[in-house]
This record gives sequence, structure tokens and C-alpha cells, in this order.
Amino acid sequence: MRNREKTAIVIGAGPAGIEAALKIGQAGYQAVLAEREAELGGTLRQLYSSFPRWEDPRDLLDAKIRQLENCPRVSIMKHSTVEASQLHEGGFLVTLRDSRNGTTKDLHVDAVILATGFALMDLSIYGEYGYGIYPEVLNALEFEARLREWSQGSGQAPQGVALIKCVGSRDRSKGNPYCSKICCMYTAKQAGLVKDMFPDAKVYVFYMDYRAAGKEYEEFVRDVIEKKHVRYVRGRPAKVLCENGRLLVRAEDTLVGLPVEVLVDVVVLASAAVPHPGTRKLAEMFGAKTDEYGFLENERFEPVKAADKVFFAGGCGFAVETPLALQQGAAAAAAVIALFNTR
Amino acid sequence: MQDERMIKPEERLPEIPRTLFLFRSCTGSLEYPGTESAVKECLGILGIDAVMDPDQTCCSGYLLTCSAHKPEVSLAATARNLSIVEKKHLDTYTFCNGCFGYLSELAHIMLHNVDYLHMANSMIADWGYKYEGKTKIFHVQDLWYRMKDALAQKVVRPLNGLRIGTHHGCHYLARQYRILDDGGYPTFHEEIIEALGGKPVFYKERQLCCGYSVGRGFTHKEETVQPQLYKKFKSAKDAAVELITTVCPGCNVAMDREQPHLSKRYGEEFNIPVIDLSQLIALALGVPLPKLGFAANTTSLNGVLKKLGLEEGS
Repeated sequence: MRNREKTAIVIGAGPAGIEAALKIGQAGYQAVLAEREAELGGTLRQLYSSFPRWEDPRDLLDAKIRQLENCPRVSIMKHSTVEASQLHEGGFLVTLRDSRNGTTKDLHVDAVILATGFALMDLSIYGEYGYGIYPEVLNALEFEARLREWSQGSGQAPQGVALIKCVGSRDRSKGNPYCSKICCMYTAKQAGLVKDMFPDAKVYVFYMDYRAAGKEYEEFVRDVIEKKHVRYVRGRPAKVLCENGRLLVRAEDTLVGLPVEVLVDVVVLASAAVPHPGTRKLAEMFGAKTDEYGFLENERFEPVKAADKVFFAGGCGFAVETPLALQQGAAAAAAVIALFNTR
Repeated sequence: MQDERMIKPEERLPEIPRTLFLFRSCTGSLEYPGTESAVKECLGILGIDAVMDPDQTCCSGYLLTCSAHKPEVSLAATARNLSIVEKKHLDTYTFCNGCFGYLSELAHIMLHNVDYLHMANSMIADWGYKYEGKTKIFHVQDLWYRMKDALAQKVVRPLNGLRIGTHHGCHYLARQYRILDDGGYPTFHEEIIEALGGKPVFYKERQLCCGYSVGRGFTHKEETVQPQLYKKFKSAKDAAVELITTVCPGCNVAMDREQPHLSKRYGEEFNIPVIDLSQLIALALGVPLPKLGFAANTTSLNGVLKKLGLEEGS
């Protein structure tokens, strides 16, 4: 029975963290779900819709949170950040700080799951796109908030929107060499949503190529192009300029070989996914390895294990779409349960 | 992973030099001699000695861009010029974006490929030159920006809110690493102009290339250079720009000398004078007009000088 007292801490309550805590709790072990913010949900909570089924992500979150509330073995600690950790009786002694009043609390845990998610790259380095200079140049998450505003009838209806892909991704000179993987899909989703809300608006997606590898993904993007009539232009914009209060995107249509200019109201930059700034520090605290960018690295043949008794799930390993975050959360939980079951 | 892209002026130029080597530019010294003269006057006012050497030749960028000779020959010319500076134990300051770009680029190639360095040095060794890579390469705009506040204190002819548009030019910003500003949206010239009492104007095509790109200035004037410049000047005129500054004499040639052709071809008068940023600084610091050589400009400056209460010759 001694095994039944074992506790795991899950750091970060996005979809991956929630799923991991839930599965550990349902398996009969104690789970502490520590979240820095006031609300659970992480990046997913900021999204207006999802691909490939156009569902409201908050429905998924609400369902998961209801399950959490019905699971007495999971305790949720909001406003909590991990301050320190030390090895303690075969596990870790983790110090959590409450960001509201600054009080700290020590917890003895037997395993750790890191689920700190990803962040978006700071795009102010792309001066040519005017992020941080023109207020209507938004990153992808800011645009999700704008979509929600539009859906509630507030804000000015746009006549034109341009979405620029691979900003900070696949760019060896200024950004990151890797493909951030999720942007092709969420950009198609965002472009389609604008067309649904404002059928008369002109919506352009500037792309290098689109990578729709996944179940129903290719069909999703083709529908956005063919049925919703979003105009895909192959070429990387050179510049975003301000013209009479609107934004002028200057690019080359490389399929035609001609320079193009489109006048729009909002420019959306599909920012590269980067590790959360705190992930590297947490990884050091728990002896986990990170790659050159700061994403967590798994041990050989152990896809969710980062170090002894330390596991990870979701965007802190690399950018993931929601279903994959849930799968990784469940896989990390399985690894913890297997560890706890082993004497 | 990589070098910082933007650095602070204090980091780029930790110490203000007391003496520097001023690298002459073919265009900035001959086509617009007022540029060289203005740079020297400004340095004099700031108490910095400028050393020059008649042994220094053209940076050779002009010929290299026109594919007039092989890059290897340019490496030797660069190594020779820089070795002259090294003998004097000074850093190199150019007043032309082209010189800056070519010197930095070719020096980088030699210092990162030992074979090229040996090749260049073997070509110049017969005349007793040897390049070791000790001199650092700057553009005088680095210094102006670093000493912005000192310049502001020495202003005797404030620019009285003159509406000034900038043209940053490509060869400085295209270096991309360890430069003073973001190549995608530079504003450091605007800050200097503000410090001198001018009103920087962000006209729409502020960052559009002058279209000259050396070779094209000769071969594709009608096809590329003029349409490009027309677009640029049209937006400057719409924004009521009264004067445009450059930091590259090559850009100056394109933007100044082409204006009469633009008027003829497009039937639209612009009359926006184009001068070097150093000339503007010298103007604000009270350098006498004859030393600024505005007579070399095709597009006359008179309107601007009148506005500042000056007449040519005073």
C-alpha cells in the first residue's frame, strides 16, 4: 500500500499537463498540477477555434477541467511557479512560490512532468514587417484574440487580411532553422475563419510551401483554398508599409514571377514556436537536457523521459497541435504510473 | 548561436578615437567633394584628428560589382589599403556605404580563409605591404550616432524643423550583424536629425533602394533605376519632404543626378535636394557653406538654405 502515497508534480496546466495530471490521478496516485497563471488551459485557452474540425477549444478544456474537478487525487495549484528543487529521499523536494503573496511551499514528490508549453518568438527583429511599429501587425496568438472579438461583433470589420507564414521559422539568417510545424495549419484555420465571418474580405496567405501532414489536414487546407476562397500567394513578403492608415504588403508571387502589392487592414505573422523562456531553467533544476534552442530532449528510446524520474509532454519538447499534446500528456502519465508501480 | 544583430553604439565604438584613418571614396571625394570636406570639418569640430594617405586607392567595389575583374584582385587591393592603415595603428573610417561594405566583406573573407589571406598578401608583398587584420572598419555614421549628444550641443544653426527624409542605403544595413540598427526598419539617422533640430519624415518609400547598384546605373537606367526613383520621390513629395540625406555617395549620385531625367520622363517636378548626412551635420555645426560644396549638386539647395536663413556664399 505504500506505493499508493506516491505523488507526481505536473508543471504547466495546458492540455498536455492537464491530461497527464488527470491520468495519474485516475490511476490512483497523487498528482499536483502547478500553473503559473490564474486559469488553466495554457496556450489552448487563447485560441478561438481549432483545426481540422473548427471546434471551440474551450469546450475541450471545460470538459477536461470538469474531469479534473471530479478527480480528488489531483490538486490544482494556480499562481504557482517552481522556484527550486533538490533531491530528497529518492524524489525531489520542490519549492513552489505563490505569485500573489510571495509565500513559498515545499512539496515532496516522487516524479516530475514538465509541461511548460511553447512561446512565440519575439518578432520585433523583423523590422521589415513592422511588428511592434504598426499596431495592426499581429502575431498569431494576438490574432486569435482578434478573431474572438470579431466573432462577438466588436472591432472594425476588415476589408483585407494578409497572413505571412514562416516568420522566424526556416530562416537561418534571422530566425530559427527549424520548421515550427503547426503554423501551416493554424494559418489556414485563421484565414478560413476570416472568410467565414466576412465573406467579402480579401484574405491572402503568403507561403513558401504548405506542410499539411496529418489526418484530415490536407483536405482542411484545400477546403480553405477552394471552398472558402482564400488566396494563397507563394512568396515571402519583402516589406509591410503604412499607406493611408492601411497596410501595404509588398511581395513577389514566385509562381508568376511578378512583384505584387496588396492593401489590407491586418497583417498576421505566423511566428516561430520557441521554448518558453523558463523551460531551460526548469530543465537545469531537474537535471534534464535541452537542445540548442532550449526545447527538452528525450533520453534514447524513451520518448517522454528527460532524466531520472523526470518526464515531459507537450510544447516544451517541440511545438505540437492539441491532440498530440494530449497524447504526450497521457504517455508521460503512463511512464510515471509505470515508475510508481515498479518497486 | 549567432552574433547579436543590433548592438548599442557604446558597444560598437567603446572608445571615441582621438585619431582615425579617413578612407577616401571615389564618389564622395570627387563627384561630391563636399562630402569629404564636411566629414573632415565635423571631425575637426569634435576634436578628432583625421589621418589620410595619398597611397590609398579606391576600395575597388565599383569595379568588382561591374565584374570588371576577378574578386581575387579586389582582395589584394583591400589588403593593401588596410595594411596602409595598420602601419599607422589606426582604425579605418569610411564615409561611403560602398567602401564600408566592400572593406568589411573582403576583410571578413580574408580573415576567415587563411588561403585567401596568404594569396592577397603574396600579391602585395613585393611592394612591402602585409595585411594582418588588426584595423577595425567603421563608417563615420557609427561615430556620428555614438556622439549624437555631443553634436547636439555644438549646433549653431538649428535646422528649424526642416522636413528631412533619410535614405539609409544598402551596404551598411545589409551587413546585418553587429550594426547599430535593425536592417528592416532603421531609425538611427532620424535620431541624429532630431538631435540637430530637424524633423525626420518617415515617407512611405523611405527604405526603397536608390536603384543604382553601380552596374545598373550605367546599363539599365530606363528599365530599373528611373521607375524605382520615381516611386521613391513621389512618396517623398507626398510626405512634403524638403531634403533627403544619404550616407552613400553612390546613392547620392543616383538620387541627385537623375532628378532632371525623372522630370523629363514623367513630367513631374520634384526638386528635392539630396545631400550627405555629414554635410547636413556640418551645416548645423556652422561650417561655412563654400566648404560644403553644394555647388556640385544637380538639384539646387537654395530653397533649403533660404529656409535656414542662409544664402549660397555666406
